[in-house]
Amino acid sequence: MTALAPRVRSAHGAWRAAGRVVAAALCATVSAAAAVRAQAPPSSAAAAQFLNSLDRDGNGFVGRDEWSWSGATFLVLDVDRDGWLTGPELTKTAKAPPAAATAADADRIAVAIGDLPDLIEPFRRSCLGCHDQTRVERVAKDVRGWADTVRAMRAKKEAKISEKDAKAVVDWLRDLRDRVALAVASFGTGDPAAAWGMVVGGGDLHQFDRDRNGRLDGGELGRLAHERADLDRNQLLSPGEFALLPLTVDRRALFGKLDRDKNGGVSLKELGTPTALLQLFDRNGDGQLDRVELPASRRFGGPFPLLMVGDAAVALELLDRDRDRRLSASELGRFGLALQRFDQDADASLDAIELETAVTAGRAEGPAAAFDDFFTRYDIDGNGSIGRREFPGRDAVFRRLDLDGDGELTGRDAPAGVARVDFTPEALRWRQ
Amino acid sequence: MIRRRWLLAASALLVSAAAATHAVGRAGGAGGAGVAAAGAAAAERCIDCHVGIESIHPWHELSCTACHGGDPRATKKEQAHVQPRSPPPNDERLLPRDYDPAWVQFVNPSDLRVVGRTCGTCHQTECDNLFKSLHATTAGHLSDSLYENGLTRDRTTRYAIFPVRDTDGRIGEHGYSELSQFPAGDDRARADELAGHVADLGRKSCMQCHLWSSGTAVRGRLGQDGNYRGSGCAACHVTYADDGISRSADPTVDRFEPGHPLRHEMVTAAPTQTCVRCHFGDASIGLHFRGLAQLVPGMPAGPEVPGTTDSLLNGVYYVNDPKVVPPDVHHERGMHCVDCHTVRDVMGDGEIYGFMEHAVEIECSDCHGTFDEVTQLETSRGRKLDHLKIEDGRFVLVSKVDGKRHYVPQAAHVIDPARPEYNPKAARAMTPQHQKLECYACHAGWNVNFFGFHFDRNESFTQLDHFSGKRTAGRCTTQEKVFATFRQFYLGWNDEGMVAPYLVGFSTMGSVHDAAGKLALDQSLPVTAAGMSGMTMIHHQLHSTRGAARGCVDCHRSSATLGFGSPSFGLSRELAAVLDTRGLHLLAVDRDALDGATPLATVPLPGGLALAARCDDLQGRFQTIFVALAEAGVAVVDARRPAFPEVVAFIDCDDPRDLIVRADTLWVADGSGGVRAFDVADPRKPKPTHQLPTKEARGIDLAWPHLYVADGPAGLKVFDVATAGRADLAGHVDLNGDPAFLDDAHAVAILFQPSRPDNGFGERIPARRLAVVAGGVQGMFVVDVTEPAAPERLFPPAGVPVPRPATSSQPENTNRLLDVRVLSRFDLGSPGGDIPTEESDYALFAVQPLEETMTPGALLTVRITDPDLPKVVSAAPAPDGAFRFTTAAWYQPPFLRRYALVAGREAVAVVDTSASDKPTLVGTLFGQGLRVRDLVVEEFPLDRMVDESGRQLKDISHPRSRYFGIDEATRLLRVPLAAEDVRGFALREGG
Repeated sequence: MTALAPRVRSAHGAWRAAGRVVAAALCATVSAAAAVRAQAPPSSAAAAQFLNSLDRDGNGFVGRDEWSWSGATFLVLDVDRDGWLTGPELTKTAKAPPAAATAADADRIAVAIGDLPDLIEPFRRSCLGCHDQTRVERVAKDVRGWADTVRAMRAKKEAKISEKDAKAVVDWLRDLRDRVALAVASFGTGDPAAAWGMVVGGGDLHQFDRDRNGRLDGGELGRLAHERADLDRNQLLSPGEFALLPLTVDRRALFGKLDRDKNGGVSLKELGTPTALLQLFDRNGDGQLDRVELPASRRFGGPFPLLMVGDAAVALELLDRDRDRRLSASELGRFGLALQRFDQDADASLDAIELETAVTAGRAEGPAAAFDDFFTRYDIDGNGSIGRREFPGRDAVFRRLDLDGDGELTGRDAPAGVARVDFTPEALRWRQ
Repeated sequence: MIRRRWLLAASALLVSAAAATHAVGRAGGAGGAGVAAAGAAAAERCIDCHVGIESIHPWHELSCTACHGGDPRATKKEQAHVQPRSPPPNDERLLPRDYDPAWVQFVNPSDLRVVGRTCGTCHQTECDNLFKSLHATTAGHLSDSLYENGLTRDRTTRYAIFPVRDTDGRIGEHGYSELSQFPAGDDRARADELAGHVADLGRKSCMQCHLWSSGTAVRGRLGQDGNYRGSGCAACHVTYADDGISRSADPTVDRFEPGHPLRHEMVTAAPTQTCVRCHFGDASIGLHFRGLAQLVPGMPAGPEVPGTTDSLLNGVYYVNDPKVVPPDVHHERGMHCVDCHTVRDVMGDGEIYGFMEHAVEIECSDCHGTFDEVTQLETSRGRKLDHLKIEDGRFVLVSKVDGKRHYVPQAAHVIDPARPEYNPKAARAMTPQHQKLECYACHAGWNVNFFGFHFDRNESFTQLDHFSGKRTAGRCTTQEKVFATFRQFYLGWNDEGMVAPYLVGFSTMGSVHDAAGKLALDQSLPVTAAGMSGMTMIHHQLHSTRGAARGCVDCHRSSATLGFGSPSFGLSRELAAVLDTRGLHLLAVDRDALDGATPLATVPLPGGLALAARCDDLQGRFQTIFVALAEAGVAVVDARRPAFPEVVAFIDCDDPRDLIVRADTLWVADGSGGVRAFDVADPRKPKPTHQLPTKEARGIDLAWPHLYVADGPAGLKVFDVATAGRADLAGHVDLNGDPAFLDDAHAVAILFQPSRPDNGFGERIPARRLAVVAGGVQGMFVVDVTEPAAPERLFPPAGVPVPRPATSSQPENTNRLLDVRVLSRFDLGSPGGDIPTEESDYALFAVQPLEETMTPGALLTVRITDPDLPKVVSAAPAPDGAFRFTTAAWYQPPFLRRYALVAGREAVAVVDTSASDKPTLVGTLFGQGLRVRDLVVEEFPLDRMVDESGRQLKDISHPRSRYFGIDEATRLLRVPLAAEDVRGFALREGG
């Protein structure tokens, strides 16, 4: 918000920012909105049916525990903010008449403004599931800054809200509510894919589910993965970009195998069907990722954000050619978009912390990484096991780790299935 | 003034003692003549030397040699006295049963080894019973300690000091037919666990209280004031002075050698002074009865320190502060132990019992009657109480020791409106619903609990084995106390199906050094054969009875009382988990060097905000760690193998900010998503259980059955979560009290304050449950949430303005309170006594200015013993910032050390908070230059007996005794209370 202050210093500037916000929000969802708008207005019967389908305990309203979708949607529908969705709330929302969009309707604008700080956080969370992080963050920041500035101006009685700006705000809010309401109303009657895509916030599904069957098959998943990893948008995955895919296999060998034309990049066609990804996240084994599996996959480094494998310190060591402990844009080379994504202080370089974030974003490496970390750290003589003299902790801890009681920490003391993986220096050298 | 009175009293005593000695000298002469006149006394020459010696048995004169043996006609000492076959040991070893009988009889004719041919010739039944009594077998202590340490497979009593058999052909209820001798020493086959070393501890340190021994105070050993006593019958029937010096008229007695009886006299009823020769350790009932308590570890004491004894007794000073540890009302009125306890309680009734509750027949109601009827002048086992009488329509107890008469109030009279003794407050409490309570459940005025006794066994040294009389490997150091509290109060069911107070059992944690001096076991905790923790508690008659009973709140609003644990007695263990911007780090902590830690593993989990850990029930080690990830959910990390942690599940949440895990339930403060709960019994498959609507849940704490939520701008919310799958809003607090502007609640912590004996005006200080809230820029709030539906903000008091919430114009150096922890603890006073040692309640806060990037933070310590007037006692600087923190309590022998681990911008700072008012920065535990979000330390909760799922966490050594079940506890904690029962309700003396 502080960084945005100059941008919204004046009322005029603020409302211009608001316009951009609205435009961004609308653009981001234009395709989905268009699909929904084409449907019939929602009916109270549809809303009631929707409510009944969710009201598991039969108490006549829907609690947060009965609502398995995004918190943003719930907040939007929960008009009185009592934590429950009632029939009237659903019906009222669904049938909300177009709001007045005039400067005279100050109270309504105030409500809209008052709603924004609350709304923007769930909006941000919800949209992060579907859209580019930078864009969403920018929108979120703009809205926050704008709302704050307007509040300050109102406090000083300097607010001059033009009819055009007011209309933009109300339109934006109305659009958001209408789209949710329409999605709700279409439950069971309309296009299920569109409804789910809207309610669940399944942007990936909506964007890549080309056959509209509500699932991503292998080909669609391949397209998704390719587009997400193709940071420079040149339609080819470079070795570095390819390494971003959450693959546990030997990436170098796989890259060589997939790059059949040997042009140094893997095209979408060459990528084909990433069966490894499917196997990772396809819980029910139907060969497709559905609306449940897809969001869940993101928590484990699924086909969504930037993923890098390795240790930031090693990366810095390898990539930092001028040894200034920072990676500049030139050093990052074709990782320009990565730079933009993780350059939190906007100084056109990644420091150690930002790089760390980039490296580990979205990852939960599990025991394999831990195993390597532990043995790399303490196996000083490199004999593959850690003796008592190599481990600096207390006796009690060493005994606790030494499960087989042989006085040495070895692979036998690690959980079953853990194996050393080639992921740190090798992977980064290859990526370089 | 007090000292002058003491001197006057002492002078009076000396004068009277001198007079008594003179009289006794003359009487002794007569007695001697009496002894001489009895039987063969005419030929006895003993009195030639022992002229003036008192008659030991004036009720029926006995000759000297009838008891002591020896040659009555000899004129030389060496010929008259029985000489030992071999030089006798002059230490505290346990002599064999057949050790040199003639010499043993000569030294102490009442020794159990020879009593059959001395006292037993006339008192055969009593002596037979005595062999089988707990005083002789110590079976109760042995049974408890062996079971709690996993040495016996069940609660059946098996061992006594010496083998004992009931041969009278009658085995009554709870009786045993025989017990074996205490087993041999350390078990090498189990050397890698505590159970392999406990028997050795028993043989070397715990065999000095029974009648077969005269304890640690062997004749001639100095510095044992208060311990000198005889063995066998003489242990009770012969009085010893505290200093063990004889005041006998017998001129041959060494007047400078301690360890002699006060006089050559027996008493039929032992005064309290005699009982406390043994009953000062362990549960300390002999101390409590007299208004004394063992010192808190490290506590200054002595003649210069008010509130402590002036002289050493039993080798130590004691707490002696009537406001903190008032004496039992019976002692206060001049009664002695045996005025309540019957001869069968003390000397046995012919049965071999394994537990004290079976051996003791006296009940409070035997004298005071029940709610329904007055005393029947007999014990509950139908034996007549001869010294309890009705005189002039009043019930009177005649002291067995001094003949003093004591009025005995009757419970039925106190609750009868028609009687002059009627007490309306007592009548509200003494209802049929409370028939299942032991009287002392409410009337125990106070109790001492030392959680976490510790012993050390070092096999590189030797020590005397009291059984074998040989020095064997393994020096055992005992009596190391860890946590202390005089306030916390606990309840459970005793074996009679009555609710009774619970105290720490014989459970000890132990450390063992091997023969090379290397630490082989490090503060290992006992495990019973049932596979449960042996750090147990057990029901107890506290012997601190007061007329003013505890109020309703002590039991009906305190989950800690019912066994769910408090925040004050968590023993920190070996590992810590630190969450920074990179992920989760598992660290091995060296409690002796906290300015660094040994990293074990890192789980890359960027975006983490908060941690919670579930530790195992036996040793308090990490099992599962839950990591709240910003705007994503909660990662579940299996940390059972801490070098190889594994993310095993992910729980979808909106905006998790804070986590707590209790029993099998993970509670998530999920920001605007409310509070969510998940069943994590199987951490790989979490299942949602609760969803609680809130405005912006930021922090949570649980004190069964209520969940407390720091709800950001919406203040403090309280939910009743005891019903599965359902949560009811039980209360809401607008913290700043002004609906016009929002609250800023960041974190909440719950502390229960048990009632205390004396508020300075002779009335109990009522109990209450406090919620302490870190209110961001609005500061600290203390709310009385004893009744969640009617909470009362205590601080800031009404009318005091609360700082406004943050605005864009807020100065960046405005401090915010971001995190809070609460605990009760002792603060040690000054050696000179100017600063008293006190048990206080504290709230600790993480304080950080609005400007986070550069500014230092602080750790604020606020004393909230009196929550109406909290006092800031210290503010420890945290140069790296203070965003969240956790508290830790490591036992670094000989004392417990307390720390706060503070999450900063780049590292975890360690602050030593052992002195509340002088916290010191120790160093950095861990840091990689990344913002630390949260941290948690392995912890073993010593006073948590059951969990919120109803699972019993710790074993219990007595059959049929048990902790409260979850349904019982929930029902008790939900009992509606009237307003007067909640605040300020306390029965006055005489109630």
